[in-house]
Amino acid sequence: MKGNLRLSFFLAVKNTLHQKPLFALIVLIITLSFVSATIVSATILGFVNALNNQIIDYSHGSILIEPKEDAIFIDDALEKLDKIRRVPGVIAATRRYSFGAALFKKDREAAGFGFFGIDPLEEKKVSKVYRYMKQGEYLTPKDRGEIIIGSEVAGGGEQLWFAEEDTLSARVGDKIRVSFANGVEREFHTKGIFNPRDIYSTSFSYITIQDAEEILGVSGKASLIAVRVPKGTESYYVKRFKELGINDVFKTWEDKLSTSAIVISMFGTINILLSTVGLFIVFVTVFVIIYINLAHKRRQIGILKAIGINEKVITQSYTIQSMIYGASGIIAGVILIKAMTAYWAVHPLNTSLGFVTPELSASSIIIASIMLFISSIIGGYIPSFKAAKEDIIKLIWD
Amino acid sequence: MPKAIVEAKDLKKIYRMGKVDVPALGGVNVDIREGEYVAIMGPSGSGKSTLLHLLALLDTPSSGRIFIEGTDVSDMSEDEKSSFRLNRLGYIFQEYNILAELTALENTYLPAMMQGKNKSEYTKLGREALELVDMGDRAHHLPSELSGGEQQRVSIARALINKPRILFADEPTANLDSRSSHSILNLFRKLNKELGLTVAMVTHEPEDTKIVDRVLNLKDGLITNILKSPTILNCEHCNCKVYEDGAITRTREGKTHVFCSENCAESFEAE
Ligand SMILES: Nc1ncnc2c1ncn2[C@@H]1O[C@H](COP(=O)(O)OP(=O)(O)O)[C@@H](O)[C@H]1O
Ligand SMILES: [Mg+2]
Repeated sequence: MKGNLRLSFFLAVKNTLHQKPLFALIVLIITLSFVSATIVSATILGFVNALNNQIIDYSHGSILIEPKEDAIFIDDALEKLDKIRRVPGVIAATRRYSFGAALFKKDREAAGFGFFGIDPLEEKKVSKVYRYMKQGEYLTPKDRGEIIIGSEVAGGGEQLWFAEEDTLSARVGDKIRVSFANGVEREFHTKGIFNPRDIYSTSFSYITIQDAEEILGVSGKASLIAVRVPKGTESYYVKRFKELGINDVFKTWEDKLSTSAIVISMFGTINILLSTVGLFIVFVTVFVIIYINLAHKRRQIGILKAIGINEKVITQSYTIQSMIYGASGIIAGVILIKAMTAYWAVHPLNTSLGFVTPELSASSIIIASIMLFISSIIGGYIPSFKAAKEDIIKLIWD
Repeated sequence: MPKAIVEAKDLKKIYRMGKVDVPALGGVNVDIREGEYVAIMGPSGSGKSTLLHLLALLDTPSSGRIFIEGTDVSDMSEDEKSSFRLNRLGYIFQEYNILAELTALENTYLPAMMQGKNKSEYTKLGREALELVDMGDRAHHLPSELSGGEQQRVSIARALINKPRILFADEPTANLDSRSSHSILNLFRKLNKELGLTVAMVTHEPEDTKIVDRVLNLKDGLITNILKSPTILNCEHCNCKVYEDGAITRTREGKTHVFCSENCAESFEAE
C-alpha cells in the first residue's frame, strides 16, 4: 500500500510538471474562480465595515452617553468629561447639545436630521468630519453666529438622498435662518459645507457650543457625550465609566447600529446568496476543467492498466494530481485576494456610500478554500475512477 | 515435451459495433509451451491482435477458457488479472507505448515500483533491464529524445523488469526501419535462447518467422495451420517466400524444385 501511494504521487507530480503551461492555465482558472467567489463577500464585508466606521467616525463616536430617561440634559457634564478623559486608553471625549431645528434660506427650507452645538477642538478628536470640508472651513472655538452644514442639507449636487430643490442650495457666506424647537429663531452665517460621504453626518449641521448654550439658556450641561476608544474595547470602557459613578445611559456604536441593522442584515442575506452561487460556480468550473483534462489521459490510463498498474493506484494518482491543481489555485487565490484587499486598504473604493475597503473574513477564505479543494478532489476522483474501470482496449485504441 | 505455459480452449471473441456483431475469433485452440518462441501470422483483420489481447489478459473473451501456467484465469477479477499482468506477463505494443513525461529509466521501473520495491531496488532493476536492451546509456532521456527503435527498446525493458514468464509482442517492429526491426528481433531471440523466456509475437513479415519455433497461422478468426520450425524457401518461379511445409514441389531430372503455388509450378513445367 505504501509503495502504491508513492507510485501515485510519482505519476501525479510527473504529469503535472510535464505540462507546465496547462498546469499554469488550470491554476489560473482556479485562482480566478477563487477570487470571484470571495470578492463579493469581501466587498459586502467592506461595506458593512464602512457603515460601522462611518457611525464611529462621523456621527456617534465609539460610545455615546445620553441623559437618563426623564432628563433633558446630562448634568455636571464638564466633571464627567474630566473623569472620562482621565481613564487610561480613552482617546478623546466631547460634549454636544442636540436641537430640533428647521433651516431656511430665503424661500427655501430644509430639515436636517441632526443639529448640534459642539466644542470644535474636542469634537475634532472624536469626529473626523473636519477632514471633509467641501467648501469653507470647520468651526473654531471663538466662532459666534457661524454654522457649518452637511452636504445633504446644504445641497450643491453631491447629495445621496435629497433632490436639489429639497435642500437649502446654500454656499459659504449665505445667511441661514434657523428656527429651534424651543421657539428661538436665529440667523447664522455659513462658514463651511462638509461631505464625509456617509449616510448620517451629511444631513447634520453644527454651531459652536457657546451659541448653543445661549439659545438653550443653560451652561455646563450636555445633550450627549461622545467618547472615542479603540474599536473592540467599547464594552470594557462602558463598565469603567459606570464604575466611576456616571449613571447616565450608555450606547456603543453597535447599539446605534440597530437603526442600520436592516441594511446590514440585508447585506448579509445578499452575501450568503451570492457566495453560495459563487462557490457553486467554482465547484462546477473546477470539476469541468479537471474532467476535460482527464479525457486526454485515456490512453495513458490504458497503458498503465496494461502493464499491471491497478485501478486504485491510477485513480489515486489522478486525484492527487487534481489536488495539486486545487491546492496551487487556492494558494495563488489567497495571495491574489490578500494583495487586492491590501491595495484597497490604501486606496479604498470611492462609492456613493463612502469609501469602502473590501475585506475578507478568515471564515470566508476557509469556506472557499475547502469548497475548492473538495471540488478538485471530486473533479479528479469521479472521472479517473470511471476511466480506470474501462476496458484497456477501449482506453488505448478508441 | 515442455509443459504448456499458456493454453486457450475454444476462444471466441465477438465485438459489438452498435447493433452489428463483428466476429473476430471463432473458436481458437492454442497452447504455447515453456521456452517456446511462437509467431502468430495471418492477413490483416484475421484476429491476431485480438488473440494476443485475450492471451495477455488485456481483454475478455466472449467465450472459451484461458489457462496460464495451469491456472484458469478466465473468471479472475480485474485486480487479480492486473496483478497477473504485473508479475507474470510482459506486453509490447506496436506503438511504443511509453509515457511521455517519464525518462527511459522511469518508464522502465514503473512496474517494479508498483510491486512495492524500494527506490534502490527498482532503480537497480531498471538499469539492468535497460542494459539488457542496450539502452543503458539512454537512461535519463525522455521519449521525445529517443528514436522509435529506442523507444521500443524501453518498452521491452519495461516489459522485462518484473521477470515475466512470457512476453507478448504485437507487431513490435511494424513502425520501425529495417535495421531497428532486425536488432529487436535478434533481441527477442537472445532473450528466448539465453534466458529461456517464452515469446509470443504477432508479425506479418514471413522473414521474421525464420527464427521462431512455431508459426500459428490465423485466417478469419481461426487457426488454419501450425507450422513447426519452418524453413523458408524461395519460389523458383516468382522468387517469393514460401514455408517449406506449404511449398509445392516438382522433381525434374532427379532435382527437387520449390514453388509457392500450383500456378508457379505449372508455369515452371511449361518452360
Ligand atoms: N475494438 C474493436 N471493435 C470492433 N471490431 C474490432 C475491434 N478490434 C478488432 N475488430 C475487428 O475484429 C477483427 C480482427 O481484428 P484484429 O484482431 O485487430 O486483426 P489483426 O490484428 O489480425 O489485423 C477485424 O475484423 C477487426 O475489424
Ligand atoms: Mg493487429
